[in-house]
Amino acid sequence: MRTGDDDNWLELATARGGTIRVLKRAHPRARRLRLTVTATGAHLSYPNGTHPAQVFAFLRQHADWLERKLDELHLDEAPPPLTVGQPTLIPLRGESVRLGWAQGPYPRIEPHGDSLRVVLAESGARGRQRAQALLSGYLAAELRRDVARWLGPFVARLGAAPMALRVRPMSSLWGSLDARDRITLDLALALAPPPALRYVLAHELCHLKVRSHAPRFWAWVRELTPDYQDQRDWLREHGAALKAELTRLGGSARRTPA
Amino acid sequence: MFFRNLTLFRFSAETAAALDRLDAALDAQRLRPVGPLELATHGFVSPLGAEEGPLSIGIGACTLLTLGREDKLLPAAVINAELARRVRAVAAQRGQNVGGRERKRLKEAVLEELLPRAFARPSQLSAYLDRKNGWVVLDTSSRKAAEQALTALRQALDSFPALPLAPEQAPRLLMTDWLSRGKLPASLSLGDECELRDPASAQGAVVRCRRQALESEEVREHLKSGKQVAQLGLEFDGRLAFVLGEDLCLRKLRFLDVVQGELDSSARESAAAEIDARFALMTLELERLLDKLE
Repeated sequence: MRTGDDDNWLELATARGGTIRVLKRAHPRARRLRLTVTATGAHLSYPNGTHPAQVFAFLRQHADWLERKLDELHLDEAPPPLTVGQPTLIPLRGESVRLGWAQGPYPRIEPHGDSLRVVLAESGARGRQRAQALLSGYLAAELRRDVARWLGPFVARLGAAPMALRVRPMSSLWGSLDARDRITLDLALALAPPPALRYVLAHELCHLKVRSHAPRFWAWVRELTPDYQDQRDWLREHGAALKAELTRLGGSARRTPA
Repeated sequence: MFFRNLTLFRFSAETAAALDRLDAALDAQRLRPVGPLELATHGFVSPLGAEEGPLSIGIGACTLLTLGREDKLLPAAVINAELARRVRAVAAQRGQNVGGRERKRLKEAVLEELLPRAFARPSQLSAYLDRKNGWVVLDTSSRKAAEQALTALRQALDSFPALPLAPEQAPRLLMTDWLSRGKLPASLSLGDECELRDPASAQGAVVRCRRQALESEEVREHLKSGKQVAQLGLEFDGRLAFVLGEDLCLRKLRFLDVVQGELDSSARESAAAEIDARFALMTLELERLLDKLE
């Protein structure tokens, strides 16, 4: 193992002869060493002042776990970047949908049977940026349409309602409920099958009744979505790929979808 | 008493049935004056303005109520200045710096001394519940104020599962479609203002138009280049004018001359009768509008 060319990276040699690059970062509020794996790769955070040898040792100690997690996430099978004019396949509501391109004024997304068409006036980097913004808005609208159908019946059964419902890309969570009873859902759920989205919505709504993950909370979740365990398994297995796909489609945390 | 801004929530028929004990619930949460050491209080007050008046006014299926607040005016700059003065005095007296715990204690002492002398600013927020159609209509465009009012209502009633609007179509895309095609739903017509936002740029380019013909070529050019409508001025049936936002909040609501004329045609004997008449007219007009927007 050695420090990479860039001081922020560590390189770990694997037993199979490969190399894993890990992004390291000192964090002022960190109280212990922490190794995480997300769709963007492996990250290691540590408290300020930690000796580099201690950081290396920690990484070496968890090398097997890191290798296993990276294999599970299939990061080497990341989808190709979005290119204007080049048709591609994207997941939408759990199904693979063809994304086509057309030129014209009034940039928009047009559903065409089983496929989508992005109408743009420009190409290149600017065109890709606009296409990603349009796709984010389209995905948010699709997600809200599903949620609008389920929200009423769920609230009637629970006897509790959220204050607001927001949709935005989330880095690691699928949804959250804040102290002011506002639900936030991850935009990537628009790409998942509707039952998975339905489970996440029910999960966050159930937190209105029970704020923790106590058995009483799971009883409420089972009441609203009896097949919740299947959906949890599905999200655990395919979640990282969905989040990676959303990043490709423009679901960056800086942009607010429609 | 016509509402100027509308923030909307929905509730079900079952919830509407539970509103029978509303008057008693509001009475238990009546606004009391803010105490000497309190920062703020909130509670319900009479929509008629009288201290002992009824806390709700019902006309048909609609019930008007008013949430009152009293907030102490104590600017952070005043607290910090006084705290800094005391910290300097203590440090000079002891000849050593003041630690964090001591500073916290001094701040609490400053608050205890200044709070009883601070002005209490009263404010009110009106709202009405439409039991027939399941609407909570709040006279504010502030999301925070609306949430505070709804929380107060939930506390009063123990449970009041009213939902924020969850439209099946994205308002931004829908309004962009209306403006670019020039085709609006029947009874709605374009007003003279809009706000356009560019969703593609991280900085978020914004164009705001006031007193502008919205069907003009310059507005159309912005839409052609990809901007989307975040707020749109609309008129309903020649009777109401408002600005519809992508957050589904109605701002700058105005009742046009036709509606005002209907009100002026008969003189009222008392303030209560005047409020009754205005409330009845407003709820009737808004019922038609909300039905259309739904």
